[in-house]
Amino acid sequence: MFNIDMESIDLEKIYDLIVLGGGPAAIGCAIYAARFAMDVLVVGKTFGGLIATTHIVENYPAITSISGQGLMDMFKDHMDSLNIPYISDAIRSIDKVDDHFELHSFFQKFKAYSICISTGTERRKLGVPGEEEFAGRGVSYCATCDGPFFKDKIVCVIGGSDSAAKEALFLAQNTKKVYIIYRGEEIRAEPINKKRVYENDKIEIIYKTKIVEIKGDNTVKSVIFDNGKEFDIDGVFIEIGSTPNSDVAKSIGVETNVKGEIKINRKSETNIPGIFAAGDVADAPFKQAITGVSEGVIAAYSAFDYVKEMNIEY
Amino acid sequence: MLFSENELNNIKREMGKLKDNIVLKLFTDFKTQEDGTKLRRCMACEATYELLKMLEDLSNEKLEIEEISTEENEELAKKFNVTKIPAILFVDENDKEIIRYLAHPTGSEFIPFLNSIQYFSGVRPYYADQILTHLKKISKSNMKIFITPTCPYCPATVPVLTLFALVSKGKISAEVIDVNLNPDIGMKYQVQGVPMTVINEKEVIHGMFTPQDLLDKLVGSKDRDFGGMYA
Repeated sequence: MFNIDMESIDLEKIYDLIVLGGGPAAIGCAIYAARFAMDVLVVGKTFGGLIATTHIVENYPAITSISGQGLMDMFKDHMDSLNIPYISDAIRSIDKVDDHFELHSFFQKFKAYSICISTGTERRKLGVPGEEEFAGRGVSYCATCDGPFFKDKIVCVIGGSDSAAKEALFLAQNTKKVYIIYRGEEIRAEPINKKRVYENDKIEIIYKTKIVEIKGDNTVKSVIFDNGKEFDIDGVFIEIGSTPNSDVAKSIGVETNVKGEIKINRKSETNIPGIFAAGDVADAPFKQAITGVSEGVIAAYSAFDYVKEMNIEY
Repeated sequence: MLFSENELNNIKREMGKLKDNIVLKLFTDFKTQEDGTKLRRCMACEATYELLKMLEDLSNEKLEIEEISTEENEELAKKFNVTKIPAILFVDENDKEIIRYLAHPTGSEFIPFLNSIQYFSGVRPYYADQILTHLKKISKSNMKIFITPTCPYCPATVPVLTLFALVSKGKISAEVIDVNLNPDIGMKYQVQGVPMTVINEKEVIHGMFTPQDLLDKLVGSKDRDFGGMYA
């Protein structure tokens, strides 16, 4: 259970480490920091991160198969066993003041000697007419959330990634038909999921096609392809990747690449001493829960070293 | 109700934080049998009763569950406008409604529910001061949030609403509605995606949001963009 009441949070204290985020990288970092006897606080917009929306995780070592939410429940239990405080909040900017950082949310100010930014990513929008208008009325970004509303209906998944394939497989369990609509020539799913998609009679892939408009009345009724064809559909699930939540990092001058991902080295260090980054917001080429945890753990160790060098007593 | 020993210890610890004595009203369909036992036909009612009873047992007598049968006590059901069961009501000493759960708060919804109980009993929530500072600018409001047990964004959004309801002492009331348990209400509001929040039967928000977002929305601040998130 999270310690989110004010009695457990000290706004005057300068924490050794404040971890921003609520996904695997953030929690992995916090767990190691707590075990290094650091005063650590986790500030996350939502707990669980993107992986909590995944209906099944089959590649987290030592756990054969589990829901994304189930996996994050285990992270939460572990965090709780170490009495790590967690606040649901969004940090908007960071300043360096003397030997520490000040982190500003809309109302509060937190202080820390070091920071790990693990703010993850946000779902990328398709950016076509009708997307916003029909959000929650046939346009969805989460199959595990909204799939049950489309029982025996015809839906499409936009995208060709492994996540798109998994969304299609999940939706195929209850819907009448699932179309994967992908602009490329072959979906980029992991081989095991690609095989499952190909073998699923309910799933059909439409290649080399983009959606340019979503139409309907009260709810979605059809989509328009880039070849002008109108295609009848009841639901549109958008799974076209995500963009890094790195604005807060940029607010203090942390370097990012052209995609907006935070540049880190093998110690999870950014260009600013005392600020570390981990997980999907960082510039690692392969983004998985397990790699995010790894970066978070390394960030904890680097932060421990950094704070120790400042001669601050634990 | 399946909780591990570790989870039960955690729940006991959290229930130990309750400050004031509180009562939750649980409306079910129980019928009192000749031997005095209560028979609940609605499965969700039975499960919800068991969950709340467990919390009561772990609360050092701080929490009391008042179970009311809609069949045996139609008058009370009518008084509190309960037409759906199970219904959990957080009401103040003057029977003013603060939160209504038309949901079985288990799984990922359990922790937000437990936090609501803590705040209801006087634990000071984070953001309390900020909400209270702006409360005069907010008119009496009702918020409904539609959820499903499989929605990972819902447990992050429900506590935002219940927080405002509890801090405002019901000036802003909240209803948590599980669409799976209440498909007719879902149909009425044309729910096709969760979380979906309806404010004062007018504004609809799809996706999750932070307390800051909601405060801005209720105060009418126009200096920030607001939009449901799927982060």
